[in-house]
Amino acid sequence: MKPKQWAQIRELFATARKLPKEKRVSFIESNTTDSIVLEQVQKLLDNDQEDTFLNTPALGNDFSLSDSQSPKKGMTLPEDLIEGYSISKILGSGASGIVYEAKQHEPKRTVAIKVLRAGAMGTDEQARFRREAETLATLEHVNIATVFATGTTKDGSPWMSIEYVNGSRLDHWAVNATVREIASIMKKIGDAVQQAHLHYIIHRDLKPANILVTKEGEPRVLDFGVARITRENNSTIVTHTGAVIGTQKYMSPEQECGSANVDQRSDVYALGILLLELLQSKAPNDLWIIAKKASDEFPDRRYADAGEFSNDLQQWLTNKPIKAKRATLLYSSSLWIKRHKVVSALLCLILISSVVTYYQFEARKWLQYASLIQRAQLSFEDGDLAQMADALEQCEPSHRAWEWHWLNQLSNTGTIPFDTLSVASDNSGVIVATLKNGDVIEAIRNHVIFTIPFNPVKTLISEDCSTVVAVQQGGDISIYSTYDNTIAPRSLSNHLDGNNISAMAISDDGRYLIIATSPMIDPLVPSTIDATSRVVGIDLANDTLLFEDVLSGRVLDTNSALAVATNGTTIASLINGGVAIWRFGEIIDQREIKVYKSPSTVAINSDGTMVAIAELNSGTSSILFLDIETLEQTKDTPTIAHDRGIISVDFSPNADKVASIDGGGVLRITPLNGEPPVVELMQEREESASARFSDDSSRLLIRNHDGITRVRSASSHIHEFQVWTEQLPIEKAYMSYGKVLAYHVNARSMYDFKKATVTFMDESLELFVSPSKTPDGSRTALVIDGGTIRIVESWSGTPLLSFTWPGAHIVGAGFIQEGRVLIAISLDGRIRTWNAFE
Amino acid sequence: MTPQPLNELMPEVYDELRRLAEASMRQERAGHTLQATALVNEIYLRLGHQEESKWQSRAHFFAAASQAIRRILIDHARKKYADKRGGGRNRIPLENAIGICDSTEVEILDLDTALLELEAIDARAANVVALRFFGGLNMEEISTVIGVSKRTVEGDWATAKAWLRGRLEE
Repeated sequence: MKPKQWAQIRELFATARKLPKEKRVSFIESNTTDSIVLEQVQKLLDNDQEDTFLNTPALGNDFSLSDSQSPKKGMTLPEDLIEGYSISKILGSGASGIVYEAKQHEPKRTVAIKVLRAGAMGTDEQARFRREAETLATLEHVNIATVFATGTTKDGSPWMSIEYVNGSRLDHWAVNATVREIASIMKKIGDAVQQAHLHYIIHRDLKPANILVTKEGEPRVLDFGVARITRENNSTIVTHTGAVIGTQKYMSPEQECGSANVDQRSDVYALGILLLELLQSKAPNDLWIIAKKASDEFPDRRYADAGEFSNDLQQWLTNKPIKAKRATLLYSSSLWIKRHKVVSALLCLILISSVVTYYQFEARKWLQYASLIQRAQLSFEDGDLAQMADALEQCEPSHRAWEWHWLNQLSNTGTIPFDTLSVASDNSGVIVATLKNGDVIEAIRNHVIFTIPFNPVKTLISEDCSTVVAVQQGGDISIYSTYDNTIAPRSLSNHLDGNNISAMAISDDGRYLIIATSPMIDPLVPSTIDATSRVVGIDLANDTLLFEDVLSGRVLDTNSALAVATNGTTIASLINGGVAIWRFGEIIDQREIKVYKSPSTVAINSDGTMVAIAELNSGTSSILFLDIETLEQTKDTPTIAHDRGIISVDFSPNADKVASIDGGGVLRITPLNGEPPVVELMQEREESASARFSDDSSRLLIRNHDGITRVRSASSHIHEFQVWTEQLPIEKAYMSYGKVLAYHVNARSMYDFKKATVTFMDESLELFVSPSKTPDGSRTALVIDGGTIRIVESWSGTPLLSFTWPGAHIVGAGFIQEGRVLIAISLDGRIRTWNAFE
Repeated sequence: MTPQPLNELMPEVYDELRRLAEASMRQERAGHTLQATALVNEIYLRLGHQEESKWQSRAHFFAAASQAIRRILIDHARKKYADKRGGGRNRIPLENAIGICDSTEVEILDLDTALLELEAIDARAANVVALRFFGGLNMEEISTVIGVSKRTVEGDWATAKAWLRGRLEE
């Protein structure tokens, strides 16, 4: 039917239906010859009957949207229920209570009165409601809606009268707010919540509807402590603004699972989610970090209270460094939890009953799988690839997951399926890897953070694991954040074409990216040999082009030919027989620095004042230091010589040392102040490794191209830290979270890199690495002392099982196969699995 | 103007309304029990709290609110239907809870489908049905809200009713 026809149908129908029945047909026929119109009008007339069809609105005759502002019949107004107040109107209502706007007689003022339904709580809860209301009434904070009075209505329902706040909901207010205004208001809210925490009151239901912003821009937090009382009875309550409790988005995982151990950190979680939500996509990096830390799935990794959260926001507002450290966590897991909150909550319930039995029934199969995986790993270590392949072959196909593919790849090709791999440099156990299929995974948790589409041909991960650069087939270059996989990747295609990329480098903090493009060299086409290369630097923080330059010599085809200072001020690149150096924003020199032999790699110190160039000299090699200002060789720097070609050079972030590795597997850690170097002959498997200093310059991360990584002291021989004297020899030492745990014959001690202090510990102190949960959240694996894994009940901490792995330093443990198998990774790259139920 | 479904406009509000509707159905009819009236109050409160500018017009607001009620009812009907088909244990007597009993002759899911079809042919007439049947507005109110004469609204209503009846009887 065409619109024109419908218009005609309507018109004819409208007129015809008013005519006597016998005249209708002739009227229609005299006005149209269109058979469709004729037929449709006739049909409408046939169906045009006066009866009950659709006459009663779906929700009954009693109400209408048009007058729903005023309370309707069926709702009793407790006019005479509370003495001293006149009820004006209903502000909101819900299953367990109603909020009224009321006029208080003495003193004269407008208040909001919340009346809870008497049946919604027992006498104990009522008593607690009153007690908390009384405490709230004593709280004086400009950002907390004041509780004036509390009591019981004549029919026994508890009520409280609250300051009537005229304002807009926090999220509505935020639509037009700047990032600074949001940070500032969240700081005030954090302060208000902290004030309540100091009085042992946990809000438990912080959400936009519970926070109003007045015209003056002051936030007012409503409904402290109300959620607990009502939620215990599993009913809903209406807040001041008429919102119904039950928004799970802001509820911490422990609260959602009904844990009895909900504390002030649940409110911190909600504050973090609120901050995230208000900022949306406009968040600067540091605010993201603050929000993410606050909303971490693990209470222990959040701010300890709302005050700490506020303080960090204050730091940000005053341009001071924030406390939340970006590389301490991998946020993807908390995002996962958020996405699967409903599922997790359900599982919390289900797990108690039937699932455990099912798991036990299935356990034998998983145990078999786990032992086969274990055998494959051991065979690989023994170099028995045939036996390894055999073990893998026997694994039940439906059980095969990441660990199986990892080993299978090893067995088939002898290479790790990683494209690139980065270990968070604070040794928090975070390992980000990109696989050849485009998956970016958090290696320890075996968790796919996101997938890069269209088979990336090149990937690069920043040293702090925060940023992944992917070059896709076709030349698109995209920047991904591992911290928040909801941030859409940014395309750099407006800056350059990803085809012909010959080298990429990214600053350790993931901010500055430098890319060199060189044409493919075809020896038969002389022009390609002399072709020029293009080098561009990009500031990823604001997506601006730092510089762009063309080099006449071609850039070496390796990422180690490029280096970027962490502060982005200096970029260096190897060219044929020399080095080109740029400074931020302007080219200060592009001249070739004459070196005697081929340069093999470059490094820049973090403040961009010095460049180290490794040069090859008939089999031996040495490191040259250049002063960026003068481009002359520095005078006071030590001579660093290797017997073989240098393949990796790194400055320590505090610029007092240089670590270099040569092709013969020799590691040199050379202090720049002239003190003697530490020299180590590394194991065979670490040939062609690279060394990177940790953030605090105290340790080195050494990894070979297989991705096998270890950590060692940057100032002494392995496992021989200077802080321990000969009187207390160390049997064993482990590192994690910036600390070293040392085992002595009869004692344990812990060295904190940041504080440079040694603490002797009693046996009850434990050091956890990367706590990891089963998908349903019910059980958590804790790595204790690097050699033991304990499975505990997540919410109570009750130990369930314990596993040891002698001789390994476990850097992370997690669950695979839906929580049935426990998997751990040792620093040297080995993995091992256990049946998680026995 | 084609009204946007509420669940697209404000997913959070929509979710809360659904929960409220469900909660109201679990409650006994006593004291402060939520009835359909309370549900509508709630919708009004929640929508009314939006900044003025968010609603392009009064018509926009009422259209969205009517659509919200429509969606809630449809969802429940679907659930009920699925329960019937799947032998679900606890059927929720939606009709008893929110007074839909007068319209039992209309299978609400079919009505929804037919209304969607009508929207494609005559959006204004479909909107009149939504405002009348789901929103409970009378002809004068609809006329004010959508800015056409009462006669036109009545014409739309009669046409839509006849069309829908024809469609539902097919």
